[in-house]
Amino acid sequence: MSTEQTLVLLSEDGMAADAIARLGKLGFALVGLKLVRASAALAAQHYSPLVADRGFRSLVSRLAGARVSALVFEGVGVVIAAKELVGDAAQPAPASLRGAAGLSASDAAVASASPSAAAAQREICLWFSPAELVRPSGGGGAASRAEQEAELNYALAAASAGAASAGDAAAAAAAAGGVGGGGGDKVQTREKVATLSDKVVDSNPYSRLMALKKMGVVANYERIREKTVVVVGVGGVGSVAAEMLVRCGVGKLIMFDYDKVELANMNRLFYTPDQCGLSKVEAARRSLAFINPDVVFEAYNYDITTVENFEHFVGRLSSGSLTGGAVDLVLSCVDNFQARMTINQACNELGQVWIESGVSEDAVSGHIQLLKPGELACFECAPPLIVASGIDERTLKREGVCAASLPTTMGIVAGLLVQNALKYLLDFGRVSEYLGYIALKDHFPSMCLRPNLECSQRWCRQRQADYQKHLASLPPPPAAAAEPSAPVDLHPDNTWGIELEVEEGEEAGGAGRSAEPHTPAGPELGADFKYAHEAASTQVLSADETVQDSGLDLASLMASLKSVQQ
Amino acid sequence: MASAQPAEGVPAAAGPSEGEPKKEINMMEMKTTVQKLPLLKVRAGPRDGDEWMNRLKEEYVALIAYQKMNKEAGNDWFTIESNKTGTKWTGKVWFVHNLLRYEFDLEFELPVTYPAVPPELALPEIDGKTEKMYRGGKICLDSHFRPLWARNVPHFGLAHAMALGMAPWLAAEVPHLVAAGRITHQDGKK
Repeated sequence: MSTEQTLVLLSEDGMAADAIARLGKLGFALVGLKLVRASAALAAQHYSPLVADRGFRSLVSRLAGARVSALVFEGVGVVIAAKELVGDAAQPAPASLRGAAGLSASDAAVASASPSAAAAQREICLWFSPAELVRPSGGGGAASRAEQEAELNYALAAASAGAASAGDAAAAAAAAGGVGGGGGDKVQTREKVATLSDKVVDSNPYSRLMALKKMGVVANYERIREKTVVVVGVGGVGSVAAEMLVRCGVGKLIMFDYDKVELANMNRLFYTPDQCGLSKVEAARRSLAFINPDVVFEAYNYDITTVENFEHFVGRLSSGSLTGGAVDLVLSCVDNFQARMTINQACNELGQVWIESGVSEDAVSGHIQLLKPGELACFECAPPLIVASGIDERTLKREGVCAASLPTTMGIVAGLLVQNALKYLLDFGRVSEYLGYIALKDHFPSMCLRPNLECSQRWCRQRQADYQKHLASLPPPPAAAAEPSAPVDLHPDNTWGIELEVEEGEEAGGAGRSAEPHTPAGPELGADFKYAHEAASTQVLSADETVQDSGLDLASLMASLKSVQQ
Repeated sequence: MASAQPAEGVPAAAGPSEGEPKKEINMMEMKTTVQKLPLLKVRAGPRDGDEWMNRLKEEYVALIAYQKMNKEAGNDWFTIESNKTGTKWTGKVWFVHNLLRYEFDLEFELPVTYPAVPPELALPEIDGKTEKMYRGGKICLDSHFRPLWARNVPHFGLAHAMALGMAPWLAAEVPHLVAAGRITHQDGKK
């Protein structure tokens, strides 16, 4: 049995104190603790696995609005121990919390513990952010010394700014939780808005957005409030994209990034110098919640590419929406190959639609690419680099390195990204499958990338098969549409004898822009293009070149390596 | 903390520059060593269950072969071991420069998309002491090792990453760090 965590919710303070004392005595560690007024949405998400049960409604209504202590305990066997401590709802043991308090199943008090380790993980994600879980011995949630100092500096600056001026720092202080008192002008904040109104008054933050309906652009703009969007990477592109979504009134925004704000980021938009040292997701959450308090935020400060974090990441994509289901769209705003491959893996596994974005390291070109698993090329089918220009693998380097960056290019790419995200979410216009931006020529190449039948990602091939099955299940198109239409002669009187010719270097079929497998037999690329990745070797390896099965199990191999190294 | 990328044309792990014939020979040696390393066959990552276990066994067989080779030639230069699931690796690497041995802790977690993506080998102790390193002490392998890895998926494993990524990085960086006074023998002695 391995170390597990469990969530205990108790509406009676005495019970909470009891639970901490009794589970502590059993050697379990208390790693999360807070007092929460549970919202209806949180209550519904908490019990969402029971949505089909008869008792679902009453469970949710009991938890909604209740003031509960939320406790997270950790240790081997803690899930069962906590269940026993709380006691069965119908027949509680006398020594259990329910039994001792004489609670019946119909009682209004809340006393619950996670039913299983897996359920606990899901529930803990709802009630706590990873940073709120604090292990006794350093470990998770413990901010580094430098981070603590940055937090302290930020708080001090924000607190004194109120007295000095009512400028940006005071606004930041208000965003940080309203500690910016001290005699300056009152910082204007805005109240939450329950429903979007199209009333044209200065005080309506949504009037200009709702006007999109009157202009006939979007049929039902209010639906934006139901949408959950994930932004992975809140750097130069991601932070601006997040701000755009928040100002558009998106329902929920989930952010992932493991980086901190640095002075070197100040040539780009969004972050301010006083935020240096804070994690990017936390700095972004504060500013964004200040801009639009209607948005629900989740922010995770970790690297998605590790095996452990990946599990959590996939979990948030599949159950992070406002209704506890899959999110509506994932936006990739990361700056490195591994993270893109990780998002690709997660979205292929889940069948999740995502849009990838990128800015080249010379800062003068960028792209966005729509990825619908099975229907369009995945990131492993066709790295978008091959279509850009004479660049090679070096472009896969990460930001903060020697990469150049411009706020202009980043802002333009973020704009293209969110524009297409809005079109996708609210179903208007046409969503671009691939759109490039070459700043030096103001050229915007656009194309469609189909999946690679030999994609090395097995989940991609699986999704392709699913999609073909889906297509086969659709009713055949009407006969009229299937017939090839006769070419229409648009200019019957061609007085000047003008003919169309294929331009040099531009094949009629658009060769060099396809996502065919990168085998040596793949399509010829134009003179300006080359594959960023060469084809992996397909040669047959002889037996003496490859690893031979030793017949040993893993433990023996581990021991064997250890002895060799001695 | 953020670190600057090696300047254009100054490769991080390209091995020695011209005019250092002694290390040129080491590069040649390295090449022949790598050619003797067995190639892996299973294309599976940490998310692939039993197939991953088969891959992990291959990783161990290749590492054992490499370490045997190193011992026989009397130039073993690292130790390595993993957790049971093969996702976290720890060990030590060392490099002898001017008759002094500089030793560092090695640690890294495999990316979830391994082996399509190469491992990010890290020496956390010297994080911040060289520009040729990313946050957390991940050594910079972008320009020289990554393309090579991409061409050899799934046949390259951790043994190859050590031989072709870590070894030349140490050979290029340790003398430079010592000369620049950023590490002293005390730092690297345990």
